[in-house]
Amino acid sequence: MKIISVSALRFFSGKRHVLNIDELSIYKGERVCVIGENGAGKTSLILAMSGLLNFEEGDIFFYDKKIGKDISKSHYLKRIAIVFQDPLLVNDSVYNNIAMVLRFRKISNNQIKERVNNVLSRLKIEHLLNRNVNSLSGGEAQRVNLARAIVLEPEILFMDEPFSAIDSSYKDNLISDLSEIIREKNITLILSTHDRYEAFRICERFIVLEKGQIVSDTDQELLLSSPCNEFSASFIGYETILNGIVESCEEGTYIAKVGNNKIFGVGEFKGGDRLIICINPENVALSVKPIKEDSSIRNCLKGVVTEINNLGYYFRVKVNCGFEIVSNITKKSFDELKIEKNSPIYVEFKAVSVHSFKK
Amino acid sequence: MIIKKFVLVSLIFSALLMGCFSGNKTVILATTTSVENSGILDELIPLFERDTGYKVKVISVGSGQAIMMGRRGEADILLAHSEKDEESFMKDGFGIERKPMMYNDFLLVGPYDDPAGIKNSADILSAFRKIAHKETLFISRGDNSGTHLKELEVWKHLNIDVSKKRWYHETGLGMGETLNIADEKNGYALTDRATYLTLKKNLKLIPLFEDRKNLKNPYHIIIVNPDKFKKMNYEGARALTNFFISEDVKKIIRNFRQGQYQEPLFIPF
Amino acid sequence: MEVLFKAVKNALFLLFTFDRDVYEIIFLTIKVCLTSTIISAVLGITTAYLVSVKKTRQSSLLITSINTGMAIPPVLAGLIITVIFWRSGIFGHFEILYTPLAMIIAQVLIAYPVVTAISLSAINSLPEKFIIQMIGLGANKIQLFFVVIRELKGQIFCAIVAGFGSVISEVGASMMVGGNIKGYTRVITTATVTETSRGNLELAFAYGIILLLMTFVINLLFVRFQQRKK
Repeated sequence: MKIISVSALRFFSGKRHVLNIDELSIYKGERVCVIGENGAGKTSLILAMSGLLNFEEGDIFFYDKKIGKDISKSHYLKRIAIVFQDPLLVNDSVYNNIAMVLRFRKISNNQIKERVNNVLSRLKIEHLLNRNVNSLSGGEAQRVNLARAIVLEPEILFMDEPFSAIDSSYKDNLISDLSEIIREKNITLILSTHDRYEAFRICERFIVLEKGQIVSDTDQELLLSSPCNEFSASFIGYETILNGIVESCEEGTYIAKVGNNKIFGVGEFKGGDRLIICINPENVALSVKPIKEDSSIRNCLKGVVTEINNLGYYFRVKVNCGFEIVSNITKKSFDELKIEKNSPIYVEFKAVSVHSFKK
Repeated sequence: MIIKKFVLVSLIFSALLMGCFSGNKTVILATTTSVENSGILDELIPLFERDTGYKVKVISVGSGQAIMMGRRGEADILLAHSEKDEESFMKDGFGIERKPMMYNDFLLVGPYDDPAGIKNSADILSAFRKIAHKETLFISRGDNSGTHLKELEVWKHLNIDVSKKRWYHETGLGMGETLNIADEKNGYALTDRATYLTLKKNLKLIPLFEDRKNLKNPYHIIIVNPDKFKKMNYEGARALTNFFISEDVKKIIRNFRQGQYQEPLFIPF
Repeated sequence: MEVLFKAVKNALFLLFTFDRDVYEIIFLTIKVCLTSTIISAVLGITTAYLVSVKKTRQSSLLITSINTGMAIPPVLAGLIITVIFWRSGIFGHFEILYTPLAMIIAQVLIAYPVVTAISLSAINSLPEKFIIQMIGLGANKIQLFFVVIRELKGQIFCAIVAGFGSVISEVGASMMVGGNIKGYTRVITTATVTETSRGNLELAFAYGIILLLMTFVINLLFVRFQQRKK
C-alpha cells in the first residue's frame, strides 16, 4: 500500500530547479534513504513530503488522498513527525519537551505521563526525565529529540541527517535502538544522510538525487554493485573516482585514457565513451618495483606519495600518478615498503577491481 | 492554566482602563505657566470643584498657546495676560465675554552688580536702551507669552531689532526656566512678579527696575464663544468665571502667600 | 549637594507619611504606565511574531519602520495624539484629550515600537528550523505562538521591561496629552517638571527619587516573577 506519493513536484529557487520530481511512491513500512550531494535537494524533498515546504507545482498524496484537498495539511501533520540534524528542543525539562508535542494533540495528562515514560525507557533515557535540556550532551539531546518524534507514534517519520552532529561512539547504539523501534512499530522512514553505514544499517531502499532529480531508485545490492553516478560511487566507498575516455574495447576488457595514463577495466563499451572510473582503496596495492609482465594485474602506474594517514589498522596512502589514487595498505606492508612522503612508488590494481560506468 | 492567567490579566487590565474615562462635567481652563507655577489655582480649583461638582482641567501653556487653544475650541475658558492678543481674540468673535480677574506687574531683573547700570532709570524705555547700548546679555522667553509680547512691545518702541543681536537670547521656555537661565548666565530678563517671587529663593538675580503703574500685568478671564464650537462647555465656563470674580475668591487671591513673600503675588481687580 | 540631601529626606518623609498628593501621583503613574506597557506588550509581541513568521515582501520595510519608531521622540508621539484627539480632530468626539486614557494611548505609541523591535530580534534569533520543527511535530498556529514566546521568555521579558522603562521615564507626551492636571493626569515625571519650574527643587528631586525607587521596586517584582517561573 502506497503511504505517500509525489507527482510532478517542482520547486524553484529563482530560476534554478531545486526539486524536479515526476513520480515517487513510498510504501507502508519502507525504510527509504535519500542520498545526494549537498544542494542536490535532499532537505527540500524531505520538507516537501512532510508538508513543510510551499512548492510551486505538484501534489503529495497520503494514502492516495491529496494533501491540501482530500486531507488538510494540519491533519496530515498530525500523522507524521520530523527530526532534523539539530535537536531544536525548547528550554525546559526533558519530560516537558516530550509532553509538549503530545499536548499539541490534546492528549490527556494521564496518557501523556504513560507515553512519555514508555518512550524514555525505550530509548534508555529514563534517567534524564527531569533534567533541563541545556544540561544534556549532544547525543543525549538527539535521543530526546528522537523520543519526541517517536512518542507521537507517527505513520511516517522523516529524518534529515539526524546523526550528523553526534559522536560516532554514541551514534552506534542510537542507530541500533532507533532501527529496532522503527521495525517493531512498522514506521515508514524517510531518511537523508551522508553516511553509508547509517544508511545501510537502517534502510533498504535508496533514492539518489542529483540537481533536484531522482537519478537512481534502487536497493542496497544494486547500489553497491552498480553505482549510477559519482556521488553514489563515493557514497558506497569508492575513494578514487576518475574521468576517462575509452580507447578500445575487446572481449569485455577496455582500455581507457585517463590523463596521460591508460587504465584497464572490465565492461562492454565503445571507443570514445566517457567513463566514470571508480577504484576501491582496499583493492589498490603499492610496490617499490614495477610488476612482471605476465602478472594478472593489468594496471601498474608510477607515481609519487603525496599524503599518508595512519588509521590504526591500516594506512591510507594517496599517490599522485597525474591524478590521485587512494590505497589502503596494512601496517605490515607499510613498514616493509618504507613509504615516505614524496617517495616514488608503483600503484597496482586488477582490471576487475575497476568499476566503471558511462557518464 | 493559561486561560486562568489570561482571565486574571484581562480583569486587572479592564479595571485599570475603567478609571480613565471621565464624565462630561469637565471644564477645560487654558492658562499661562505663570499662573500655574504660582500655585494659586491649586488653592482655588478644589474649592470650585467641591462647590459645583464640575471637574476643571487646567492646561498650563504660554499665553500665546492658550489663546490658540481658545481659537481652536480646545478650551472652554482662558486665563491669560496678553492684552493685544486677547483683544483681537475678542474682535474675531472667538470669545463672548472678557473680564479682568487680577493683576500684578512686570519686573526687570538682572545680576546684582548691574553691568548695564539700569538701576534708577527714569522709565522702562531708558532701562532697555541702556541694556542695548551696553550690549549686556538679555534672556527672552521667545514663546509668544504675555511677558514675551510685553518685552517685544518695548523693543519695538525703541526701534531696536533684537532678533539679530548677539547679546539677545531666546529660550523658548516658560518663565521659571527662563529666570533660571538668566540667573546662571548673569543676564537681564523681564518677568512677572508672581514667578519671580515664587522662584526668588533659588535666584541670585535681583529686581533692578519696577514701575507698578506703567508695567501693569493684568490677567483676564475669557469665556470661549459657544456658538463657534458645539463641544464647548459654556455652563461650566460661566460658573467658573462667576467663581473667579466672586468676593470670596478676591479675598483668597489678596492673601495668597502674603506671609511667605511679604507682598502679594496677585492683586484682584 | 545640600539640595540632594534635603531631597532624599523629603522623599522619604513624603513616602512614609503617606502624603495624599504624592501617593495619588504614584498610583496614577503606575496605573497609566502598567496599562500602556501591557497593551504595548500584547500588540508588540504579536506584531513581532507575525512579521517574523510570515516573511513577506513588505517585511523589511515594516522592520525598518518599527526600528525607526523606536526612536520616536515622546513629544512627537504626544503631538500626534493631541492633533488626533483635539475636539476639532478626527477622533475629537471621544473627548479623551487631557485624560489618563490619552496618556496611555500616547505611551503605547512610544512603547509599542520598543517592545516590537526587541521581540522581533529575539524571535529572529531562533534557530532557522525551530518553527518548522514545531509545525512538523504538530503544533497549530496558536500552540506555535505560545511555544515561541515561552522559548524566548527571557528576551521577551526584557522587551517588556524596556517598554515600561521608556514610558515611565517619559515626560513630553504625558505633559502634552495629559495636560499635567493635578490629581488627574499629573504623573511623577510631569510633577517633577512642575516643581522644578516652581522653584521647589527639593520636591522636584524628591519626585525623581521616588520615580527611581518605584522603578526599582517594579523591576524587582518583574525579576522575581521571572525567576519564579524558571
